[in-house]
Amino acid sequence: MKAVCWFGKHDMRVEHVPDPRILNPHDCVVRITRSAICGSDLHLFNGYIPTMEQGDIVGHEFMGNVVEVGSEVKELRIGDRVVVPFTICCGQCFFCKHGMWSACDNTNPNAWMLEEQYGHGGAALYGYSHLYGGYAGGQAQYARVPFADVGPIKIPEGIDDEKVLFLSDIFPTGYQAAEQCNIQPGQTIAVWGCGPVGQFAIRSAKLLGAERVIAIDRFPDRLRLAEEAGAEALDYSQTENLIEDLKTLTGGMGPDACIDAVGLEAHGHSADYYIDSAKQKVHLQVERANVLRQAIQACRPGGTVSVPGVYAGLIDKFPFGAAFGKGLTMRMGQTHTIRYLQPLLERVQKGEIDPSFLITHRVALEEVPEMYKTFVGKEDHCIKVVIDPWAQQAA
Amino acid sequence: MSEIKYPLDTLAERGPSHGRNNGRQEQWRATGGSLGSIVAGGALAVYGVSRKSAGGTALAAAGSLLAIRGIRKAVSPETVHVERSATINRPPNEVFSFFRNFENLPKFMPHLKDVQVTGDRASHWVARAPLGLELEWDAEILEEEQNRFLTWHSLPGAVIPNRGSVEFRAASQYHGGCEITVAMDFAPPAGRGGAVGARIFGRHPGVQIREDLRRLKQLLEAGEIPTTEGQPHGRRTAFVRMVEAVNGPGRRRRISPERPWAIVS
Repeated sequence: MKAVCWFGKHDMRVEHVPDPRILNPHDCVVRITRSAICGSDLHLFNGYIPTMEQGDIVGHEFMGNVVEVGSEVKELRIGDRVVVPFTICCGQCFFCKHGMWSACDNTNPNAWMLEEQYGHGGAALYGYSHLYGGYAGGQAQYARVPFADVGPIKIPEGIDDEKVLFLSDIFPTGYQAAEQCNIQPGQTIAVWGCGPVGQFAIRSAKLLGAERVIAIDRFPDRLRLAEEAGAEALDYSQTENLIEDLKTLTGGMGPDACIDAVGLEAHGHSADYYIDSAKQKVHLQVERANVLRQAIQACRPGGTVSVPGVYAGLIDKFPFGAAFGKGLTMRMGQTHTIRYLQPLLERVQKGEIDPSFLITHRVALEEVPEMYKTFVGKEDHCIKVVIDPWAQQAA
Repeated sequence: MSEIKYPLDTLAERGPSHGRNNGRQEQWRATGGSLGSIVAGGALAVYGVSRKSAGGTALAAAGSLLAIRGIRKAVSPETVHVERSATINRPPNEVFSFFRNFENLPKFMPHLKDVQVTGDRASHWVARAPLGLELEWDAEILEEEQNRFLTWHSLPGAVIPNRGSVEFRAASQYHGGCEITVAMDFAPPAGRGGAVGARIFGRHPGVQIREDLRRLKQLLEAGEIPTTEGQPHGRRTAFVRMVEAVNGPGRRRRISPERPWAIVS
């Protein structure tokens, strides 16, 4: 089959590799009908995620049809059409049983590596480094899906792939970010980053009853998309003091909750951005945390800072005093994707949201390496790239 | 080497609470730990003397004791003691009976090639060692209480004499399942240094036990041990291919707990 493989910083290639097969009794194999490039794949592309190996198949947002099932698979049948959540979960451990799916104890063969860094392991992910299990990803024609009865959600006939594909990651991720804000009627939510996760966070905040959403970015097309969802756009590159602007917009109060949908590769023009960038370039730290610092600084006392953006290591100059002084609640973490599959599928079925609004590019597998460059440079108004792994390359 | 001193008393003597207090603590009594004691104890003693006060004298005394303990340890090789625990989301009786059937052990302890139950309390163990060598020994159950604990020791003739206990305890209702604690002492082969002995059992015996418990948990909870061996990937570099040939796939980056002797990148 054909698959997109990581070969190093800024080096993705389409390779011919053997088809995946069943390795464990709870596995199934899926023939992928749609896949996507996630913003977090750009962290791989930019070389920020350790323990990638040359030749690793990437991609963690995919769906398809079941073509093979292992001996212990009870629910899924050959031919079922499924969306596969990006976290691999066993369904049996304490964490899965308590809905903390992304903390699953039993799916990461390299849990010991993560344990050394974070004290504990966590669920394995598709195509996202050996630290996170080393599983082959879904920017390919087929993928092996472990614990087939636990993660994948069956999609009824009559809904387009493109409407449900994002249940695999970014829709639940944006939704969890908003849900973590415990939104009350009349509240104002500020969202940093209007990429795919930010867009879903904005829409989810509205669905969950936020009165106002303030969307912060610097790309006009992304801000426009946020405005279409009813958000107020704030272009940070055009303001002197974002914190003051946010206060002015909220009657001096500050947002009730702040969502950092940016993560460790933040951009900005504040002093701490330049310090973080310099340190990052000489490998003194992994994160550029200026957005997280701003979110903490801007949030009203007693408010919530919710972090769907990815962070991986240590942060310098973290304003914990401000977080303490204001008594903030901080919520974060990998998405407990499986928790949201059914409720969000129902919202799609009811027509409350059509996630395909996000798609700007539809490509064949061969075009994916080029699309990484387009996406990372935000060229060609690129917001979301969807892949048809069986399409012939456009002439 | 048939006579070794065990710092860990049997569970029956120490009572069932010992694992709770010591579960995550380990005492790696090789020279590294002793050196720490000598340096820290020495520094404490010097600082205490320099204070020239009653408190200083007490500090100096404590420091000297620590240093002396360290020196004694460094010169007299001792057994290695490790303890690890895990919570397995299955009832204690189920975990106990799976474990008690020793022939199940190689399913989650990959360094074991085979365990044969040879009598009511006796068993024969075959372990994999580096360079394709094998180690064999006989072991015997000392004490056991159904669904609660068992203790064992190796019989004279073992290259690495060992003794241990496994405790099975119902976890709190909130956590559910079974807390299992493995405590083990073993004596590295005489004259070869502790490190060699430790390496035969794993990079660090604590890591070995921790990974064994992890696989036991995976097997009993999820019904399988997760793997990526045999999955597709793009072309690997020559170096990765070479390392993989020795280490196995997916275990290239760091010293692997299972193949500590292999080449690593």
